[in-house]
Parts: sequence; structure tokens; C-alpha cells
Amino acid sequence: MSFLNSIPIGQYVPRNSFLHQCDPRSKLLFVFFFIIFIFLANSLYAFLFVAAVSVIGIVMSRIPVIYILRGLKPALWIILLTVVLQIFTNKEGELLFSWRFIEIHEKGLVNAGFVSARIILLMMSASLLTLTTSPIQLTDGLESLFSPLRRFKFPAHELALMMSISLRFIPTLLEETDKIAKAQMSRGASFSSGSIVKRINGIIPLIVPLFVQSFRRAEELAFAMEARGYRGGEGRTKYRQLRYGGRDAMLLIVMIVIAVIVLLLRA
Amino acid sequence: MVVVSKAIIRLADVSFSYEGAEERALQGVSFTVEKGEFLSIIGHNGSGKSTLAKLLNGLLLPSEGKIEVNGIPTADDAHIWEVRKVVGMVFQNPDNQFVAPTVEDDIAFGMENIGVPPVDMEARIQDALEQVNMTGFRTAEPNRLSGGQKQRVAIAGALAIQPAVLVLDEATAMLDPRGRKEVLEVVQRMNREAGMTVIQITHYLEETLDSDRIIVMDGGRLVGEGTPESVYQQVDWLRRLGLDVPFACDLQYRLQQKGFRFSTLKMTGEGVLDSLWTSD
Amino acid sequence: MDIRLENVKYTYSPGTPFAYQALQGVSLHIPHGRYVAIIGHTGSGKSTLIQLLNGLLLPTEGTMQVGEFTLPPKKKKGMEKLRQQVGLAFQYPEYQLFEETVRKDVAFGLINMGLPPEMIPGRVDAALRLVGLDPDKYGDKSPFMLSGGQMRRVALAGVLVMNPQVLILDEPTAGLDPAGHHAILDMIARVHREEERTTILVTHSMEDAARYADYLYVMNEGRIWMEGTPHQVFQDPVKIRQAGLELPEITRFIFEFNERVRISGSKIAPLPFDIFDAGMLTNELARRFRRKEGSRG
Repeated sequence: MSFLNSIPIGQYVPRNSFLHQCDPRSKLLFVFFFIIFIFLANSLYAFLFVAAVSVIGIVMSRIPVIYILRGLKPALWIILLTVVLQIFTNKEGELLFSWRFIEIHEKGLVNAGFVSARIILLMMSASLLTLTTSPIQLTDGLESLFSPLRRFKFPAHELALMMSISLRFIPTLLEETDKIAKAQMSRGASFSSGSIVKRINGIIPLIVPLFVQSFRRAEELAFAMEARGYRGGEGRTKYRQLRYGGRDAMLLIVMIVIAVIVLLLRA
Repeated sequence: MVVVSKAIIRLADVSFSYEGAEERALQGVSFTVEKGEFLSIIGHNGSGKSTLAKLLNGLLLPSEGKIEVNGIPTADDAHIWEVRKVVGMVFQNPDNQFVAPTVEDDIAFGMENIGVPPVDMEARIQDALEQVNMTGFRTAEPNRLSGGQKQRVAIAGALAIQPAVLVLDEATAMLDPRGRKEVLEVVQRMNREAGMTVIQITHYLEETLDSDRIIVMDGGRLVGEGTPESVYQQVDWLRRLGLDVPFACDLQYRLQQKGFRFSTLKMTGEGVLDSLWTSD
Repeated sequence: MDIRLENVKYTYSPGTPFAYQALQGVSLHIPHGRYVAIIGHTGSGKSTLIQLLNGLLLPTEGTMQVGEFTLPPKKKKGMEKLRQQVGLAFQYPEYQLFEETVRKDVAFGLINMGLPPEMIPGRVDAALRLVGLDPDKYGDKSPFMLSGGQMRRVALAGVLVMNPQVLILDEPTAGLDPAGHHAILDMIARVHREEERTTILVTHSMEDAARYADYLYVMNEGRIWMEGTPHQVFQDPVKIRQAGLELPEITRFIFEFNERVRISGSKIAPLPFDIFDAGMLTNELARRFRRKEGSRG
């Protein structure tokens, strides 16, 4: 239980917004192209425009801003790193500051701003997708989008099923990890103290049982799936039917408009 | 006299050994299961009963002998999916048979596999959930359910395919008494009201008392079969096989050794009291 | 070592939308050397309670005393010492096995304790013998090659080897067949008798609680619902049913027997409630009905 709540899994937040009701496929495509637009926006105005679009998206999703900000957390280090690299290595433009071997140029600052803003926008649009789309819809959408590739032996159905089963088992495995850790702690194991070598060794009593159990689960799951008539994607029907609607048409139009505007505003 | 055969599953001299194992897990097992029957299979761990369960719908194939489901041999590759439509199965671990992220998707899984048209699924999911008393949990995620609830979802998933036979492979072994009761009540009602053939493999004797027939397994062989009354009469023999007997049967057996006489074996404590009171 | 809990409460993930109060004020006193059973259905707070006893969880409110340890502690160090003295075997303990050989796995706790290496093999083999496994036959096998029942014994040996003062077992017979079930519980009863320690058995089975324990705690909705000797607790079948539990079959039989005696106005003496063994019950019944026959002839 303690592990479970500390990790925000499948952060989907159910709401009744326009974005929630769109078909997952159109949302996936929209985000895919929007990310391209983010990288195409190389002028200040173009950039302000895509940023404005993101903000409108967030407002429309009716999701509290705190969830979006939390989604940025994992990117914090990447942003910091790129900012530092840009500032200290870019030697273009006016020299603003120098001390011994450290030099900061104007272009470095500008680039640092641009790059970090891009990463933030990118993370925001991606998390807007996962926040408004349930994992099931997401896998269904991906499966459907990739299914034309089946002709070229691309395992769209298998990958989607793998994804869905992984999502299903994440809470189970976390609970199990918690239980095994507690069982080993009851035998005097300690996962939080000692040298690094000691700590790495300390993981073995946790990892081995987890693997053994996971293999057992996989075997039993395979039996259960077979018993329920599973034999691959061939001839299979889907309970959840995806349907494009008026909303998706609107989303498509919006996307084209954004594309035109970004291209016009580009430097 | 014309005998109309109502057999739905037929095992003829079935043996099975796992790859690389020296001993056979099953040895020359023969029996038939009649339509609408409630059959319990008991035996200690390693007696071959779970192997037997997996043979009934062709998850394992007999090394020797033959198993027929509705007249179709399970070894017939071309028709194995027909067999699995007839025989639904529920396994021991509630977690390891829950495939999808929500209850409704999990129930749909089996129907998707056999190509049920999507328009029909809605109603069949609803119907299956009603049969197992889980209508309020349609969109629930598995980690929010108790073990007994998960097992009832597993039963619903099997029911949605509309099988004729339900095999429960120690489906109650990991449940608490409350969960066991929930599952047993559902299966017994399916058997009584819908005429579902039930084959349950279990350690819990109280779950076998209302069976039409009990089969006793030991060392991969079928060593006994009969009504609960006839099987549980053989107290010493069952103990030697590492099995228990229900409290009432044990008590009657002990009383008999003290010189008491019982005309028939009673399966409940109340029955024993009736006998004690009428015999004086 | 005595165990004392004073109004202990425990809340999972406090301050979040998932907050859940699993224990709502538990007070109890378990004197050293007792064989105690904790009964209750799933979600009654049993597993939270036992995790508090060896410091895996710390009370959110209230205090507890486990031997010389006061919980919650002033500093987090020293929890390992507590866990050496309070051994906890979780449900399906065989899932924690990880070593290449049975002996190595059983030794895990001793190595963590920092026991001198020369002392380890002797204690490991003794623990294996205690759970009924021949160390020479099984000691160098991989634990994963054993049967389910044997794996369970190895896992229990891995807890017993630390020679804890308090031994807590969470449903040690879950998933075993009847023979394995009795063998494990008999083994635990023997170990309890032979070594001076407190044994705490968590179980769903009223039969097992009645047969093996001196004292019962029935839990319901995060509280101690009832406590007492089996005899005392089973006097109140209504309250037991309110906790979602059932009387042992043998006790139900005695209730029904006495009820019939009362209704029929018969001269047969009612049966005492503290019989938890079919053999004893048979003797009592035989005595009653034979006496009746004697008086008739």
C-alpha cells in the first residue's frame, strides 16, 4: 500500500471535458503533430502561439494545474542539464559575463530559454494526453493506429496486449514488492543502510523472489488466457469500439489551423 | 432398454506425464461426466487433480488414452477451440487470471477471443455480472477487489462464453471463508438453476457435501468415487490418503466404534443429532 | 517478553485521498509464553496489527511496548533488534525464498544479525530439524526444487532460526492440503511447547484457533471485537456472527445438542462448551447415552 500511493501510475484523471471525449486516436495524432509544431516554432511569436495553444488545451481539459505541474517533475533534471550546457558552452552573441574560464554569451541565455521552454511544452502536451485518456483507450488507440502496419508483420495487437497487461499488473507487482521487502526486513534485511555494495547486494533477496513470482504469474496467466480461447489477434473482436465523431473533425480542423499559423509565424 | 447417454466429458484410460518427469502425473484415469452433474474431485497435493483439470479443456493433452468433450477429442487440433467454448475454467490464483485493467474488459476478454460481435457483448457482460452478484463492480479495477470478488469476476468471464461445463481448479484455495462461501453459492446456483455442469477440485470438504458425486485421486490414479455419503463413510481409508472427513462423518465413525448404530451416514451435525434422538 | 498496546491507531497514507484507518484504537496485553490466536475476516485489521508488533509499521497514534522496546521509538535505529526478537512469517512465506540452497536461505537472518560464521551451520541445521526437514537430505538442495509444503517449512525455519521470543504466523497453512495443514500446525504447537516463547497465530479458522490457542482475539473493523479463552469467546455466537465469523463446527454441534436437551426436557446432562476435540466429544456422548440405556434396563 505504501509503495502504491507514492507512485502516480496511469495518472488518468476522469473528467467530462471536450478533450476527454475525443477519440484516443485523434488525440494521439494531434499530440504527435503538435510536438512537431513545437520544434518548428523558431520565432518568438510562433513560440508564444504554441504556448498559448497549450494553455487553452489545459483549460479545456478541466484538469487542475497541479496535476500538469507534477507531470513536469521527471523532466526537471533534463531541463536543468540543458540549461547549464547551453549557458556555459554557447559562445555566440555578445559576451555578457566572464570570470576566469567561464563565459556567458547572449545566445547561450536565449537558447537555454528556448530549449527549456520547448521541453516544458513537450512534457505538458504529452501529460495532457495521458491525463485525459485512460490507459485502456490509449492502448486501443495505439493498436488501431498501428494496425495497418500488420501487413508488414508489425505486431500491433500483441504490443497493445502487452501494454495493457503490464498496466494491469503494475499495482499487483508493487504490492508484491512491498510484501517481499517486509518479509526480508523481518529476517533482518535492511534496504536503506550500509555502503553501496552492501545495498546492491541487499536488493538480491528482493529481486530473486520477485522474478520467481513473476515467472509463475506469467505461466499461470498464459494458461488462463489459453483456457479463455486466446489465440492471437486473428479473428478477434473488440469490446471497446473506437468511433470518430464531430469532436475529432473539429480537432483535425484546429490542427490544420495551428499548422498554418505556426508556418506563417516562423522566422 | 435404451440408454440415452447424457455424458458431456468422457475420459478413457488417460495417462499423462510432464516433460522430463520420471513419474506419471496421471495413470489410467477413466470416468464420464454427465450433463448437469455437480462433481467434486478431492486428493492431497500432488495427487494429480490439477493436472486432471488442465486436461479437461485441452490445456494439456493426454500422453495416452483419450478425452472427449461433447464427442470432440481434446487432442483434435482443428477443434480445440470448440472444446474451450464448452468447458470454462477458473484457476486458483485470483490475480493471475485477471487479464484486463477493469472488470468489464476482463469479462469481455473471452468473448473477444471467440469473436462475439461487439454489439452483443454489452448485454452478455451485464448478464454474467448479475449471475455472480457483481453488477455494482462493472468498471472496478482488480486491485480494488477482494479475492472472492475477483474469483466471481473470473466465473463471470467464463459464463460470458456460455459454456456447458465449469471447471474450478482449486478456485477457493486462496480465499478467506467469506470469499469461499460467495464463490460456492454462485456455482451451486448455476448448477441448480441453469443446469450448468460443475467440476470442482477442492481441499475444502464442506464444499463437496452437496455434490452429486465425489472422485478421490491419489498418486495420479482414480482410487474412489461415489456419492458424498459413500465416500465419507470410509474414514480410515481417507485418512490414509492424507484427506480429512467432514466433522459429522468423523463423529459418526467414532460413535460407531463405541457401539452406536447409524442406519445412514449423515453429512451434518443436525443429522447426527436426529439419529441420536430417534435411536433411543 | 510482554506485549502491551495502549489505544493504538494506524492509518495508511494519512493526509491523502487514499487515507484509510486500519486500526481504530487497539489495546491489548499479551503476557510472555502465551499461544494467542488473532481471528477476523479480511480487512479486519489483523495484518496491520502484526506488522506493528515487529516495527514494520509504526503506530500513527497511541503507544506500544514490546518487551524492552517502546513504539513509536525515539530514533529509528534499533528496529533490527526488535525484528530479531519478534519473528514474523507472512502468508505464503515460501514466496520470500531466494537463495541457491536451503541452508543458505535459512541462514539469511543469522547473517543479517551478524552472528559469528562458525555458529551459523549448527543453528541452521537445528532450525531445519525443528520444522521436520532432515538437513542432510534437503540442506543443499535448491529451495525451488521442493514441494509446496516443504518450501513452506524452509521459510518457517528461516524465521525460527533467529530464535525469536515472539513468533507471529500469518495464516501459515494457507493453500495447503488437510494433511499439510495439520502437520504445520502440530509442528508449531510442538515448537511452542518446547521453546519458551509467545506464539501469535493469525487465522480464519475457528477450529484451529480453538484447538491450538490459549487465548483468542477476534478482530472486526479495526478493533478488538472480543477476547478471552476459546471457551469464553464461543459463548457468544451472536457477536461472533456480527464479526462475519462462524463458531467452530464442534461448538455449533454442542449448542444444538444442548438446545435439544432443553426442548425435549430430557434428563441428559448438557455438554460443556470447552470441548474442541472430536474424541473427547465422542466420549462425552457415549457416557450420556450409555447411562441412559443403563437406567432403562
